[in-house]
Amino acid sequence: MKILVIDDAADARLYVSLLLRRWGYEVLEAEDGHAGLGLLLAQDVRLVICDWMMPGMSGPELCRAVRTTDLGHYAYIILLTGRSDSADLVEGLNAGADDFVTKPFEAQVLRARLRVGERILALEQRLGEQNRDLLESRNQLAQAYHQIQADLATAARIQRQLLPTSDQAASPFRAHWLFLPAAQVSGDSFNFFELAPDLVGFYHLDISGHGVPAALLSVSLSRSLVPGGGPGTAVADFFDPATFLADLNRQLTSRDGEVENYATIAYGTLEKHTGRVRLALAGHPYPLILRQSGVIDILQQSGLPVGMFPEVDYRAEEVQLAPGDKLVLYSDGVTECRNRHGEAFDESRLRASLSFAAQTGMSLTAVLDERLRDWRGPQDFEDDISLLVLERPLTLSGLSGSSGSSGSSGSSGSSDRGNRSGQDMRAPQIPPAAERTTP
Amino acid sequence: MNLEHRTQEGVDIVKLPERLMMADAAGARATLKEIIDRGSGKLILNLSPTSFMDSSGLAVIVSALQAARKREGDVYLCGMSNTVRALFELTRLQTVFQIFDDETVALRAFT
Repeated sequence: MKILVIDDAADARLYVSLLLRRWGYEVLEAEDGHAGLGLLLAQDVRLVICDWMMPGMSGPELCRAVRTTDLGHYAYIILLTGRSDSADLVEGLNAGADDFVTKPFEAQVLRARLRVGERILALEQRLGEQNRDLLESRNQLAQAYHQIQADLATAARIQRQLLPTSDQAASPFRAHWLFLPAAQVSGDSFNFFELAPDLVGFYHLDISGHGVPAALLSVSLSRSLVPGGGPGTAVADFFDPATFLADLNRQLTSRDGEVENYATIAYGTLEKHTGRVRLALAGHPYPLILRQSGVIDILQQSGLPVGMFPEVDYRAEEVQLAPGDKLVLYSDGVTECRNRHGEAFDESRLRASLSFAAQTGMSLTAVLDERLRDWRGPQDFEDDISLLVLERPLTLSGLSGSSGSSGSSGSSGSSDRGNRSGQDMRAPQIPPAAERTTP
Repeated sequence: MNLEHRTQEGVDIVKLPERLMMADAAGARATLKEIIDRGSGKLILNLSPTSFMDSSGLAVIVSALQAARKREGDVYLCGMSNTVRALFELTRLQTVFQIFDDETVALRAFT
């Protein structure tokens, strides 16, 4: 340990230095306060013994100067003084001294005081190290947190990029959709794609849970749920909805029985020229059919969610869409959307919205967009809200090939991808299979 | 997570918390797993205090069922509120679990 001795009296300085050296300390000497301060700034000195009375800069003045200077560490200062009344002590302490030794002093007293100083400096050093460690951990945590947030945002973006951009793949049927994402990444996703010249496949799914695992699962599912999108996704596997869901369930179920993430899904096929729909459900909200007449039918043939139990049987339900009929698939984010009183939107309000759209001829997605936002109020949505509508046109004029403009008007202005969707309508439609073939 | 737990006639009876959501799911999952591993594999989950449950909570209960069945046991549910029951019905899980009105009836079914 290095100790700086500051005293204008050479004999006194010499005596203290001799003692210190004898006790094994390394000693620096200065004959006044200014020289002492210079040494403190230039060298790593943490313990100072300083005389009170000195010409130029006194002991207390030196203390004040040290305390207002950033040395990068603490300096422990012992003042040597002939004074002993309490007013002097207060002055010295206020100036920043740590301890006093009254002259004339016994060597052992000085030695004991030095040990106190050393202990305090050791504590200070340990605190400083811990503080630095804490600060570093905090910075690392903050970095990791920002990284996760950024990754989640990327996952959300990728997920949303996998949503359809036009309804050409369903043509001459029309597709409309509404997608109101929750603040957090969650797992709603839907798409439709051509399986054969007369056959369209479509799905609407909702991944349970939130955060990174749900986002990862959602993106990987969105990619693999289209023909050619991943290994084992040959077009033939997509023809039978019940088998399709059973296969998907097998892939998603973990062998050890732990259920972390699962998905509810509606998967179906649509025969364009007949309007015949075959649909299988896995724990998903029951789809509704808004008939041209205004009547609302419900499809309730459902099995368990995918990703929970290893072997589950699914059954497909067959239903006919007549001209003007609309098949409505939605996530529970719609029916469970809560207003500020905690009241859920419920199937009854969804049905009322469907009826209202039918009576007024308004776009179903536009009606629901407005009603759900009104219902929720200024708060963010707690869960993704999504709705996919497949509509059989009243006439089949679309078959002649100009269906590209029919479109996803529902999503424009109703989701964060609204603008993008507007632009993409002009871009040549890439078949989903090609878009998602990754090496 | 601390869950109210007792054993009666070789059956573990656990009261689930008021909220079984994403934030509490991991704790509840670990506690239930421990109870099943140490017990007979026969478990009654009393959901009467549970008024909020989301998909994460549902996953915890299904995991418990899988663990219990691995030990040739089962998980019976009781005391469900209407909202929780609706969640089970929506996901068709009422076809997988035996659901009873209260603990007494559930216990009688086990023993």
